[in-house]
Amino acid sequence: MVDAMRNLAYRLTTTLVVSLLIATPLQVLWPQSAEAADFTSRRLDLSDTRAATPSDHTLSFNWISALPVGSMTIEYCSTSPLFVVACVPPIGMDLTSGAAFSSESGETGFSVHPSTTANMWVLTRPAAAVTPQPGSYLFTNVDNPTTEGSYYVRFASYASTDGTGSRIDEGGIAFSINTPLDIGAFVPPVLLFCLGTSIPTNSCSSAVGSSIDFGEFSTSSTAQGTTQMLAATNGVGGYNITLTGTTMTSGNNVIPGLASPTTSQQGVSQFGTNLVDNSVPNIGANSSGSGSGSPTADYNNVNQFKFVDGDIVASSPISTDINRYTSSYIVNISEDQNPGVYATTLTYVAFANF
Amino acid sequence: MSYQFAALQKRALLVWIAVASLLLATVLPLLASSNTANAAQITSRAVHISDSVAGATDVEYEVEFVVATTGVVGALAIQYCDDSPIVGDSTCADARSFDWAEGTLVLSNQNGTNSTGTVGDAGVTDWVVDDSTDTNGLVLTSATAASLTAGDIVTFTIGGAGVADGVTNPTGSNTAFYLRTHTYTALTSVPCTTGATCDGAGTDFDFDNASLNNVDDGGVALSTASQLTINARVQEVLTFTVGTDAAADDCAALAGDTIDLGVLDTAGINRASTDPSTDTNVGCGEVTTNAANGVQIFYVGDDMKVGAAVCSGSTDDDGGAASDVDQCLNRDADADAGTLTTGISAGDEMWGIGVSNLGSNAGSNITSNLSTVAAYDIDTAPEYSFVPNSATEFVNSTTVVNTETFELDAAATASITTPTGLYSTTLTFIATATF
Repeated sequence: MVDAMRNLAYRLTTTLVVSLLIATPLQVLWPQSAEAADFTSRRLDLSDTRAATPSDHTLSFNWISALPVGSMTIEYCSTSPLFVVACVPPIGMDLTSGAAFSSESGETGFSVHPSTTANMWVLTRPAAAVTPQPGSYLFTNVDNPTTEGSYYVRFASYASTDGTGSRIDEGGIAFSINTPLDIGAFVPPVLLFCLGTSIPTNSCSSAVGSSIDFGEFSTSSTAQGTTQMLAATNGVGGYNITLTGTTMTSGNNVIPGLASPTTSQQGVSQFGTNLVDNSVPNIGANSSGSGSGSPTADYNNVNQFKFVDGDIVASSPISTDINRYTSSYIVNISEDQNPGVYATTLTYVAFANF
Repeated sequence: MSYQFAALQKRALLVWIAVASLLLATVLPLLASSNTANAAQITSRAVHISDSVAGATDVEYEVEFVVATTGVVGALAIQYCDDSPIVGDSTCADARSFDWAEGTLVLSNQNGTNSTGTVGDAGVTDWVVDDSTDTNGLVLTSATAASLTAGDIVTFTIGGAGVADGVTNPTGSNTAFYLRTHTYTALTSVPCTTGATCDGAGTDFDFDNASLNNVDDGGVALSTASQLTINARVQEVLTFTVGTDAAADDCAALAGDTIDLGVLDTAGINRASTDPSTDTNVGCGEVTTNAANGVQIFYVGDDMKVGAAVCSGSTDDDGGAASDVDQCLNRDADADAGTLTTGISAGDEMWGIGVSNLGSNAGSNITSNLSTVAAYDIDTAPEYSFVPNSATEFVNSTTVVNTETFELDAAATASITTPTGLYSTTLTFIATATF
């Protein structure tokens, strides 16, 4: 009987002790949760989420309890937003060095309290009743934590003016520090240039033909023909198109090239070219396209032709979109021009200036 | 000798006194229950209560017991006591505000199982609350008294599923209380005036009155109980990771931080997901949050340009005034223009970012709550866009998100005049959850 009583007493004592052991930490862990309300619509906007980068942090939330509030604490932690969990300050944050409380809205009148620490703002004001409303608080030049990952802010309001005492309302927020992404692309030097007797579109793939047959020369008519070029470049200095080659020859017989812009004269031996729309003879076309290129001065005269080996016939001083040039060629001969098969090979070279 | 004899006599007397005491102790309780001397004890008796909170109202008491005596049962009474379940015990306090709530009480689930195991074939099914019921004494009568067999299981529920049609529990948390059950062949109204359990009010039912034909009886102990409040708090969660991954890998393994769009020309549009000659990595993001109001994901970055090149005015190519000859790629400005254009055309200098393949990585309870802002939704249309130097939202949700992913594509093309160079930008991503 005595043993039974002892056993019962032991069990009761054990149960009581265990109950106390369970109950005590629970009360310690949740000393406020039964009283403090949660701020709603809680968010933290960062202007920059890169690690170890100064950033503006804007804390926004809705004030809840219409009670006198004299201070707020806003604490950054790497462990948890819950007040019941020990806060480990994020590495790299120091609110006391360079960071500033910049602006406020909603409940206002706060300033930084001297008890602010490296990871916790303490804002103070003369205690005043809260009006439930949205509030927003901007902190500038806050050093983000030095490593990527999830971090937390826990914040609360107090009746005291120094962030001590019982929490009136409280809230937690999680935010993330991330690695940025780099996006890259390379634009290579580009020079678009092509030739043909016809290039009907702005694509070099449409170029056709590489020779002109003037037929049989006559002292009473002007032999004529045209070729076309497309040119464009992303070279910041634009391009120059140079015409190289000889005038038309047949063995030792030569049809002289026009050394300066000259009109076409039947019965006079002459060979020349220009890059404009002519009427005498009716040949050629002005340059076209949205580019910035144009014929050079000596080759940009209506009804005046010239041919000098090595001359620049067209150019653009800047990077340019596509221009189409039409080169017109005229040949006249005199009565004493020796017979023969006259021919030449002309080469256009485009130099882009990058 | 005489002394020894006297001692023996004294010892024998003590033995007889002890024996007599034991006999008296055994018999006295029986004598105290003289009113129930003819009644057998019902067995397997139990009362299940729907709520054990002290003082709770509208509580259902489900009564169940096994009939001990074969015979007719036409009335049943249940007596509430603060302190004793013993039938016939004169101690039966009623100081804890227990109330059978006669005026509104409903009986339900009147049923039973007979002794051969047939469900619904035993018990009385037409119990009604008798007028002699008061706060602590429930009296039920049956118009068609049933013949019960020993072993039958009788069940019925005191209180119904409606509002305020049940019993009021006694006050005092974590405290026992008792019910004494009696069955009778028939009810004979016996106002309580002198009975041992009579409370003197004059109309109480005298449960143990010898004139009643008590068939069976038995007591049950019950208890009120305190409620336990269990608190837990789920902390705010936001995990957001950004990286690159092969486009075909659906962001399964984030790695790297560079998207190479390759060499741009006028012939086509380079897309991170498909075209670059160097790789087909795309940007990937994975986000999880328990924020009830969802998450907004923003990007911040400068125009794609060569080094520290100064852009010639706006790079908004949709506006038509952007330069094709500065060292800044023009951008598809659908997002800030508020209108969706035809997108990027090969050879017309432009770039932008877009989102595709909203999905998830492996896990449990995966959600599908992420959405793409229209100007970036390349799953719907080839919509790319970019707004420089301003936190611009491009993916969002209005509720929680669990392990959801998105692919961030980028596309660019060059005009013929787009200056040569390595164009680049760095995008920072911001996930902001609203808790």
